[in-house]
Amino acid sequence: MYGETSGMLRDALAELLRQHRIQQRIGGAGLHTVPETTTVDERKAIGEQIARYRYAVLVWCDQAMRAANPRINLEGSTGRTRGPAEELRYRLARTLGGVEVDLPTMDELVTEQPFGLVDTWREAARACVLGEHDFNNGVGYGRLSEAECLTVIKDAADVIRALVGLDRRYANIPGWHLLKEPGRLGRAAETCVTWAGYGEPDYTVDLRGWNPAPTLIEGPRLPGITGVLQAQHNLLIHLGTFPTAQNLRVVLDSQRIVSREAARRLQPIDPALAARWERRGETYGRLVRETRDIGGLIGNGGPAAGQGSVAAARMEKLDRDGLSEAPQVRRFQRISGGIDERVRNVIEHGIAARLYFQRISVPGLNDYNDELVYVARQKFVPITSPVKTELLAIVRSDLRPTPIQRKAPTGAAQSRLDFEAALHHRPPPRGASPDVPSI
Amino acid sequence: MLLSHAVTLAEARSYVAALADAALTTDASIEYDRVLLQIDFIHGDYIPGISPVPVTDRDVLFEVAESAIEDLVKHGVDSLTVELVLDMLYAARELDAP
Repeated sequence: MYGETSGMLRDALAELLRQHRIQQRIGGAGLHTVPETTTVDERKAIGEQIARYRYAVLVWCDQAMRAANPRINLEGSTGRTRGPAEELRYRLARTLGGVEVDLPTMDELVTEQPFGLVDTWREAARACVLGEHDFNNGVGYGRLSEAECLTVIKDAADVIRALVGLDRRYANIPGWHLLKEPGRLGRAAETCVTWAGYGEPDYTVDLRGWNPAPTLIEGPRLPGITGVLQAQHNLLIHLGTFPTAQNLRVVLDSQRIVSREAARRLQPIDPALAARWERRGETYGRLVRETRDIGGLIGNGGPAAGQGSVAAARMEKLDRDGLSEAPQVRRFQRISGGIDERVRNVIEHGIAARLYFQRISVPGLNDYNDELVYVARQKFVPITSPVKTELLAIVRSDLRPTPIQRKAPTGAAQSRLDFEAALHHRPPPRGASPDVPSI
Repeated sequence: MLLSHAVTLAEARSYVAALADAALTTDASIEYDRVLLQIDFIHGDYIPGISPVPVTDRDVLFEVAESAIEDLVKHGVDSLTVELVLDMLYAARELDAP
């Protein structure tokens, strides 16, 4: 998720921002009580290693800026015609063009470094490499709201400010590669932070990005409601495969039973919630009636139908007080909501792509022993034809998912505040102990 | 599928569907729908459509559905399978008793 990867990056950079006396942290001279442990050449190699890690962070910033502000061509634009975000992207592109090192290799990303400072840089680079996946999985322009875009831009600009500040601090490392035009880059980043910070930030963006794909819950039957959750979860995953019409009917029937049984068990505990489950059961009942005559051989859905039947059977056998735990009920609702959404998509796609058909009987004539007799012929017509059923209307009106009110994860704002504090952090004056307030 | 088989199957499907619609309780309706699903499962996807039936009396509907399902044996459907479907039909009928 974007929140995890960008949080890891902020944590690593905040730690680096609080570290001063860089030469001594990589084994250089400076303290008469601590001997020098590295040679100039070794420190030069360390500096190059840090520059490679820093390059990965710069690339992440560029990707974040592109994801949140995708103006394609900045060639020919001037400082007057570029907005704050475009200016930062332009400056960042020039900085990246001046980088003379390669990106860190996989070995360098996974091997622990002997010095804590370098290892923190490695953590930052690792977070950036992981974070690349987020931009193709939900953190991209068109999927983000305006406030979310501004939050991503501000995050990237803050990271760039940190890099510019660290660049000055590392200048004494032998052979250190300074950033190209760091002053202009830093100013562009500060302007961008101010501009992006005008509005209210939307930290729900932290919930977007790459997530591991859910997997089946294998193994023996789990006891009680967890067994029902297991079957419903597996059903939801199996519905990823388009089901045939017959298997879809089994799934619909199973959800009707599950909903009715859930409503029965919730009635004494929470009548309002029980009414919602009752309504869901009625909706599925109407869907079962409307799909009695649909046909379609494309797809599979056998495993989904199997899990649906298992869920229905387990729900029927569940104790009367099996739904008394509120967290389990919430999980049950969430999974069932996912099934509703998937069923809706399947039916809509099946109708639109003509994978499901309506079976109708039409009168016909047949030659029987040289005599014409009336017979009933069956014919398959698209569900959107004039002989349409109420199927589509039910799906669109009653299986419409309720809008999800996303809540920003706890700690999203704190992570940014900590990073902001680290950016403005100043070392204590010489001789003063940071832990004791001065008198 | 021969015409006579199709006619019998269409009759069985139509009357079971009518029973599901006319059931007094939702539980019975669910059971009748399961019978319908089972009949369809036996025949695969190439099955005749459901037509409106001329009667509404549940006893008549049940008798016709029962005899149509029994007649499926004459069209090559395994007799054990037919018995299982009939058993499901009787179970649904018990839930539908007033």
